[in-house]
Formats: sequence, C-alpha cells, structure tokens
Amino acid sequence: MKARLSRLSIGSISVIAGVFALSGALVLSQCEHHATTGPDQYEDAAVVDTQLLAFLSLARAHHHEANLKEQAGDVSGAIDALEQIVSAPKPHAGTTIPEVEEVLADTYARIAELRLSRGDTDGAKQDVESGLVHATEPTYFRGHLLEVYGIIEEQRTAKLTDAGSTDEAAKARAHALSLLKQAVDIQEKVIGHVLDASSPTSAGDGGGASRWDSLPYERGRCWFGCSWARAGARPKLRARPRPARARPQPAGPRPPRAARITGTRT
Amino acid sequence: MAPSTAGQRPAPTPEIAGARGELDRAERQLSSSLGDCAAACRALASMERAADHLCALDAGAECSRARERVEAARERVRTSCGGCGR
Repeated sequence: MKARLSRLSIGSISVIAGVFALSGALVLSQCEHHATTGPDQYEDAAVVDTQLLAFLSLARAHHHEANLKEQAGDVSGAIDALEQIVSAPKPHAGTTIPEVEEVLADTYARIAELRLSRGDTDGAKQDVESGLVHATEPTYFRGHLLEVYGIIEEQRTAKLTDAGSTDEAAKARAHALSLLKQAVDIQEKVIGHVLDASSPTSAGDGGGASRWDSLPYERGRCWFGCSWARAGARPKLRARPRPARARPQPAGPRPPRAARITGTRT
Repeated sequence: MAPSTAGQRPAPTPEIAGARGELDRAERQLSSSLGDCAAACRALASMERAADHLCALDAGAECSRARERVEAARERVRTSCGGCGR
C-alpha cells in the first residue's frame, strides 16, 4: 500500500514537473526562434504548434470515446471513433512530425486489434499495414504493430487450415512466425535502449520524458517511450505565449452575472 | 512578518541556489526513470504477447529462444524498475 501511494505521488510530481518543464521549453524555444526569424514566420510557428496540440487533444478525446464504446460492447462505434483520428487533417501537412506519426501508428494498431476481435482479419491486416507506414524505426510502436500483425496472420492460418487451403495456411503461418519474431527482437531492443538511457552512467540527460508527459495524448503510450523521448530525437515545440490583451470594459455599471451569461441587460 | 523592501525578494544564498539546483536535477532524474520504466514495461508486455503467440504456432527451438529472451528482458526490467506492477 505504501509503495502504491509512493508511486502515485511520484507520478503526480512527474506530471507537474512535466507541465513546468514544457512551459519552460516553450518559452525558451520561442526566444531562440524569435532571434532567427521574422515576425511572420514566428506567427506561423505558433500556429503549427497550436495545430499539433489540437491534434493530440483530438486523438485523446477519440481514444476516450473508443474506450467507452468498447466497454459498452460497441466495437463498431469504437472503430468509428478511432477512424476519426486517422482521417482528421494532420498538423503541418506535408511534414513528418514524430508525435503525429506515433499517434497514427498507435491508433491503427488499436483499430486492427478491434477488427481482429470481430474476426475481420483482412480489415485488420490493412490497418496494421497502414500503421507500419507511420512507424518505420525500431520503436515500441513498430514492435506492437508487428505483434498485432503476427496475431492476425496466426488467425488467418487457422481460418485457411479450416478451409482446407494447406499451402496458403503454411505461408500465413511462416509469415506469422517471422512477424512475431521481429516483434520480440524490436521490443527487446526498446527495453535495452530505454534502460541503458536511464542508467546513471549513460550519456545525455537520461532520456527521460518529463518534458513530454504533459502532452495531451493519453492512452498511456505517447507520454513515455515515444521516439521523441530518445536522447537527441526530441522535436522542438514552438509556441508563442500571446500577450495579455486588455479586454474592453463597457461603460457604466457591470450588469448582474445572469445577465452577462444570457447577454441581456437589466 | 516584516515587509520586503520595495516588493523585491532577497537574492537566494549560494547554498539555497545550489540546493534548488540539486532538487531540480533529482526531480528530472526521477521523472525520467519513471518514464523509462513505463516504456520498458510496455515493451515487455508486447514482447511477452509476441512470444506467447509464437510458441502457440511453433513449440520448437524458436519458442525456447523467444522464452529465454523474454525471461532475460523481464529480469532486466525487474532489476532496473522493480517489476511492472502487474
């Protein structure tokens, strides 16, 4: 119990530290950015980051929606919710943003798992292949997609065997074994990488993710262990803190609260 | 409490500034190791699932090798993180 409580408070500290660290990073990068660009590009950068945060927030909301649908047994509804993430306009179109790529890889893996739970191996296979396009490096996300792909091929092997397609079943089985072996390889490397990076004797700052754990994408995945959390592979988030604008004050006495909400004056 | 002069805070002593720096560093190390353990646990869970399915398809040498690697990874995570709390 004590250990559990300690973990909880440590987790809270981590999140709070992340919020402060991110705020600091945003202001710092704003200063760096402002020194090398004109005001127009500067304004563009602020828009890009707002879009990125909005996309991550949208992804989080749809994953929550999918959780609720899944809990209610509505697998189709859960898939629909997740498909809104992959079909949403992407921030900074035409540019590869690691956070976005990992959200997409993660979301495709989840859609594939949901389809597989309904026995839709063909649909699941398409999703996992779409996801792999967004996870080309040996990260957790690629490993997880390969794991799901291997399970899809395992189920396809069973279907083909039942249908009497022996040759096709043998091919699917060999493919499944290859994919699952690759998944084991990648996740083994990921574990080695993250634990090496966090050892006190390693170079760099420990490869931690405290700066990123305040990003609004949940599912517990992109907060830690994403490619951007690896030393030297972090994106520069840029944002411009907007100056506080003086709100025009109406002349005369302030109306009552109810009137302010409804827009009427008494 | 005595009011500060002209609303200015007194500058921290070098000892306090040093202690704050130490605290910040410790906090960063703590949060990064928590993040690394969460990532390692997630990867370990995926590795275990992949090995389970691999063994369901082929209980031979590949399965044995995969199981050994999973066990080594599990031990490594246990040593570094104290387990994954499952």
